Amino acid sequence: MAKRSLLAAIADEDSVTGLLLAGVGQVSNEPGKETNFITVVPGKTTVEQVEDAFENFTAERDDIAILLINQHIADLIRYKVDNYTNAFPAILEIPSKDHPYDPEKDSILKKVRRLFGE
Amino acid sequence: MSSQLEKITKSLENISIDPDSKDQQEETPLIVLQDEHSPDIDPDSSKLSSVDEKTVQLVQLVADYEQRANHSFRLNYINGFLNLSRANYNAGSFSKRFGSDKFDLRPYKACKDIVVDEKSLRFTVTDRLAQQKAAESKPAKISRTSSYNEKIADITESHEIEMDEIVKSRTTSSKRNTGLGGLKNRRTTEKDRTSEKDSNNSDHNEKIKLIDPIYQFGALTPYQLKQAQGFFSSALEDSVELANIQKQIEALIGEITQLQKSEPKEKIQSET
Repeated sequence: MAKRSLLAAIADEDSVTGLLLAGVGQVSNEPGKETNFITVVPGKTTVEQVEDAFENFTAERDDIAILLINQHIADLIRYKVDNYTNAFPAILEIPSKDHPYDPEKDSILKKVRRLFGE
Repeated sequence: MSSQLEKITKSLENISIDPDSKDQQEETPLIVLQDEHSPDIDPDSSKLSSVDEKTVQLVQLVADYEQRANHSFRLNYINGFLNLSRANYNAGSFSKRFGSDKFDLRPYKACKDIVVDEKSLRFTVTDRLAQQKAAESKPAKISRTSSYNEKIADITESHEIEMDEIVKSRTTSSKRNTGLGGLKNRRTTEKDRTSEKDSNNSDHNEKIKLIDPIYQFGALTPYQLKQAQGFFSSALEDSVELANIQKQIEALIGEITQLQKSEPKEKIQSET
């Protein structure tokens, strides 16, 4: 638990820039832990690369406490995000510049609606 | 028609509100609206069942979550992206001045950490850069309080030490050049070199200074970038708080579904 102290990010360029400005980014020479952020470029970054990054930050690395992922990128790997049940790292969907926060797509609110039978 | 109207008006005129009137002394029965099918309210049943209590907590958490997500979380990200775009526009170059091409990929530590509380499993953001700045500013304050005489004594001592070092370096260099003063002791010099290197490395490891991440984009950056940094820092704190509330909501949903599954079984058992 004490090891998990970092935030990770799977997001588009502007979101990663913003999170780096906030002080989230870390770069090291340790193999497997080079960076704690992945920039997803539409048209260049494939879904498999996003999946690999998700697996790396959630299952392989043990120093990530929270994973921040853009909502529209989480939609690409929705089956993985919805079936994720581990307590750590916690996954939080954040808005991007082109896709602002949409409460209709919020996974936690979907679960609450499902519970109330909507 | 007019006679009927007169009768109606006369009957209305007879109606008077007089507190002393005998008709009003009789207690009018209270009109009780009661549904025939609803059972009488038992004061003991005012306590909510466990499922209802959890549901009330869940609804409160969801309200808090929505309030935070729709206001500060959403607005901080919008303002952050807006100011970042303004900074890129004002920079004026064809390629994005503040983008992935300018990320510093040399090793550095994160300025913001997450501390997980072992009991409540709650996340909190700690700003290591601010802590480092606070720690650095403390010795500077102490030195300012020293007296004038102490300052002079410090200066003279440092000057003497420097002079001694200069004299030593001149003597050693003269010995090396002329070959006088004994043989060159290479072992000691090598040891000294390795020990110096080790000390330098350990000092470096101990003193890995955190750097403000805005400097990776240059020393002179537009003020909009600084504003964007402020908004994204606030958005990060909102994000972590939302993650905390999400955890609580998920835990409550799990508990409610379990209780709902177990309650029908109990009812069946009690009926049998």
